Parts: sequence; C-alpha cells; structure tokens
Amino acid sequence: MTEAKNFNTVWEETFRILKTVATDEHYVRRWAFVPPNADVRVYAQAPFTLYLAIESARVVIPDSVLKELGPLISKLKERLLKITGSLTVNAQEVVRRYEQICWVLEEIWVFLSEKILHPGLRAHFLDRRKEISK
Amino acid sequence: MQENMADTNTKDEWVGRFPFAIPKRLVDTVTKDGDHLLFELGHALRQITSCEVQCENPILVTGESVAELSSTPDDILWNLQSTKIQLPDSIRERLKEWKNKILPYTLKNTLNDEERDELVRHVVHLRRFLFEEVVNPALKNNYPSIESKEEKEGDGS
Repeated sequence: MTEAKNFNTVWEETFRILKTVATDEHYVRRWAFVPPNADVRVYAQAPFTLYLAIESARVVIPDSVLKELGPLISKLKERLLKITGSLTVNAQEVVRRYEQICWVLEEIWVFLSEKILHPGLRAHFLDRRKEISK
Repeated sequence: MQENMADTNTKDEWVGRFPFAIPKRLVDTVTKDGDHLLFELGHALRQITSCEVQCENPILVTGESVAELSSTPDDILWNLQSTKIQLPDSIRERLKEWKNKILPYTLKNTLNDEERDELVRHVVHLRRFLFEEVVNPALKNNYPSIESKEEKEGDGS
C-alpha cells in the first residue's frame, strides 16, 4: 500500500514539476536566450501537454511505468536546482546547464510517448506494422 | 535517447547560429513515409509551433502564444505518425477537414489578429478532437480507469 502511494506521488510530482517548468515565469524568462527557431517553452510544453493528454483519459498508469518515471523526474529536479546557482558560473556553463534540462525534458517526453501513449494507441487502433508483416 | 547527443550530433543536426543542439524531434516534422495526411497536417502544425507562421501579435490575451497552443496537437500528430497505426476512416476524414482549415493560414505572409484568432480556434478544436476521439479512447481501452480502481479499493475496504 505504501508502495502504491509512492507511485501516485510520482505521477503527481511529474505534473507539478512539468507545469512549473512549462509555465513559471522564472524559467520562461531565463530560457529565452537559448531558443532554436521556436519558443524555448516548447521543450517543456511537449512533455507537459503529453502528460495532460494522458491524464485527461483518467486511467491508472501501471506501477512498472511509474517506477521508471521516478528517476527521470528526480534527474530533472536536480538539474533545475543547478540553475539556481547559475549566476556564479560563466555564460557557456549556463547554456550547458539549460541544455541539460532540455535533454531531460526530451527524455521524459520520449518516455511518456513510448511507455504510455504508444502501447495504448497500438492496442486500440490497427497497427500498420502488423499489416505489413503479414 | 542519448543524453549526450549534443556532443555527437552531426553538423546538420545543429541549428545555425545557436550554440545549442536541438532534439531531432523539434527540427524534423513528421516524415513523408507512410501517411501523407498525417505528414501534411503535422507539417502545418509544426510550422505554427516553430513560429514559422508569422503573426502581427503572436501572444494572445491569455498570455499563451499561438506556438504554444499548437504544440499539443503537433505533439499528438507526431505520436500518431510514429506509432504507425491505421486510423479509422471516420477519424481520417475529420483530420482532412482540419488540414483544409489550418493549411491556408500557413501560406499567408503575416496573420493579422482576426486571422490569428481564427487559426487558434481551429488549432484548439483540433486539440480537443485529438484528445476526445483518439488519445482518450486508446488509453481507456488499454489501461484500467481511475474510477474502476477506486471502486475496487472501496469494495476491498
């Protein structure tokens, strides 16, 4: 039971941390200097909106998935904490730290896609890969 | 995903003047192989998400940008394409309608506020459609619902 509660906490924590990064003015403003040709919030928006899409279905995420998600969220939190000390390091190092945050956001996005959304889509709709292999 | 792709990406996978390796997903749009409809619609959405569709005022009164709003359907389309599933004809027909509504805006030079709002309306409706008709049914079909889990827990107590 305690373990189940911990898994729920991971899912709720994922929401809190992604929402913060996607919408908090602190990150939005400070990230503004490392855009590609898109608003840099896209990096955080992608996993956050994917989370919302999954959450809107009101389904129970398997514990095995949440167990793998936990370390990714911890990694994101650690990297966000490093940003708070950015004023003491040079600009190049700041960019590197932001870049690392973007990579872990991307990692979370891939995880949500491949471990939760894709299996659901493939089970519900006709999988073209199976058709091709027939 | 390789965490250190920033160090290993080829030059082509870097975007011009920025000292920043862009994840491939954000550079590429959905690919042409497989499903042309998803490619066209996905490409149009990616143009909006990556700010290639110019607006006189890209930020809405809500504080959100047109690009941000487009990122969700863009993301879901990318997922649909990458899972290589065959969507039912009824859903494909609706997606064609959205494509026909959204695509013309990506061909204009700069959108005025009225055009921007129309585009946003289409994008938001498309997002709702993808949630309600594609993502939610698929997830509900594959995972137990929270309500049923709560009922079971209630019975057990």
